[in-house]
Amino acid sequence: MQTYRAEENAELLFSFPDGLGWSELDKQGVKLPVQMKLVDLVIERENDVLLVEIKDPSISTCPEKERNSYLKRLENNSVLSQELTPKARGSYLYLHLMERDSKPFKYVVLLGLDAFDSDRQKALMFGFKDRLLADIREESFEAWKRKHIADCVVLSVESWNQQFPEWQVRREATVEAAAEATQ
Amino acid sequence: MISKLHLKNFIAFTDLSIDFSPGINIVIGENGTGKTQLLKAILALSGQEARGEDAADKQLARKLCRLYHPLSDQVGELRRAGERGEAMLSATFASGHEITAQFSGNATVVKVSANTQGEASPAIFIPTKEVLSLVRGLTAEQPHLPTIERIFDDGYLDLANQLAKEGTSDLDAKVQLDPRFASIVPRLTNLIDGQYLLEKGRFVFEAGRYVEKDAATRSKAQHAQMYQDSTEWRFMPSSKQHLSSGMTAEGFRKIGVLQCLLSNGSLNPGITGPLLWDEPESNLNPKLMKDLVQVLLELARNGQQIILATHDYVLLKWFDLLMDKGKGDQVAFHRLYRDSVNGDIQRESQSDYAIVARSAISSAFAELYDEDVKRALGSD
Repeated sequence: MQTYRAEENAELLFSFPDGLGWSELDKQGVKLPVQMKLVDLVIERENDVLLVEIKDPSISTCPEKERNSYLKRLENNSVLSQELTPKARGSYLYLHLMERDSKPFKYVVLLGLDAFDSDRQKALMFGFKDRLLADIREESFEAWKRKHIADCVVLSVESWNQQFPEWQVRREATVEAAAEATQ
Repeated sequence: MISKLHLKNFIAFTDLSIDFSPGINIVIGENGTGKTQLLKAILALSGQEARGEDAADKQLARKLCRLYHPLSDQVGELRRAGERGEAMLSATFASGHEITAQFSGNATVVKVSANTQGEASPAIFIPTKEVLSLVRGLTAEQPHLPTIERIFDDGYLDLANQLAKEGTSDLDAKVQLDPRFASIVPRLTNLIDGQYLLEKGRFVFEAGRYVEKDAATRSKAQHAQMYQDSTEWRFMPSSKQHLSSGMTAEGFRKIGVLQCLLSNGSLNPGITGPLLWDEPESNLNPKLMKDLVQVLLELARNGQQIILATHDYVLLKWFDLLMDKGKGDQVAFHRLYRDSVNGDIQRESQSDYAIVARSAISSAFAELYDEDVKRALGSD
């Protein structure tokens, strides 16, 4: 069993079984292509490759004001067009150049929206998914000819765990972050 | 303004009572939980027929038959089968006026009892389909009323008659003179890029928009004063040619109904009875929904009680996002649902949108979401 956090003090902790083909794409502390935006994780499955991006506005150390402004950016599409879509394109290009593009790519955005109840999260994420896929497919005045991302989903922590029961994710502050929060 | 409705052994309802907010009331529930029936009951009890001093028993029975179209055309059929006791409909109005109607299963008339306290203004009911085009059939030289009545229930006919009323109809003047309309009418008009006018017994569409009055015609001092008072709006037609209402989108005609009711004075916030609207979202582009909700909130702020029945998540969500408790907005959500044990229709009411999260509307979205995730990730 291996664990993974997107950043050093991130709260969402993933547990992956040994033998799962996963790798970090947006690695910290190594040289990456200039101006290329990448998703956090790549998970290879039998028939597809999941590009996983983690967005966690519910993190407990995130100040209320910052969290609200993030939610606002989620609503007005700026997170989508400035972060999520370029990351999908960058990751596709990176994996293509690395000859890792033999299977279709599915884009999975994990949104920490624990503040809402489950049905409301789904209603929010449902609309969000449609907008995201439309934005990925048509970034300029005309749509991409190639459907580089076969499909996308937006998941909450709860729906991630339902969908991938073997790759559980839970909210757990790091010891340092927890100590900082209590000070 | 209606404050309470109580229905017993009546059509879908075994025993249901509901307290209404003086502002906006939103009735939600799955198909077959009686939302439209509830609106029609309010229409019947607040209408002239229920107050006819001599023949209220016959008149109200006829009204109920024309609204609900029972197969036998007898009011007794509207009593809920399989229950003991008479059917009963009762309404209490904010003025203190109360009215109760009762009838047995084989009745042809209803027993009406009412206190004489206060007055209740008749309600206005907007049914799911648009009505502007029906007006022409009613105002034709020789309309065949029995046929029309067989096709359309009274919900449609009442509204068509209200729309056909000649009123002041100069909406522009109303906007200038009454600040209440300045916040409502330009928004409605610009939403559909034009206005509907009654001409020779039929509705026509005049394309155009409300614009702020040209500043060049005012002096600077006037201008400053104007801004201080209110913004001055003026309707600017964009074409001399009028269109027949049938050539405009059905969703636009629904907005047009509201426009025309305001224009001829049938809808006068603070004076008219409750505005009952069955599924405002039907045939409406979801993009128009936000502005429609703003208009409804504005009407309520001006004293108009509104009771809506809806299935639409977008409409509900806009109410949740746009209501402003600071402006005194009162929005009550009433959820109708079937009791899982005896199948009776029950109600729960809250002023909080959270109630919607538990409703079928929200779970339908959740189901769509689950299905979508399943397809994308191929997890069958």
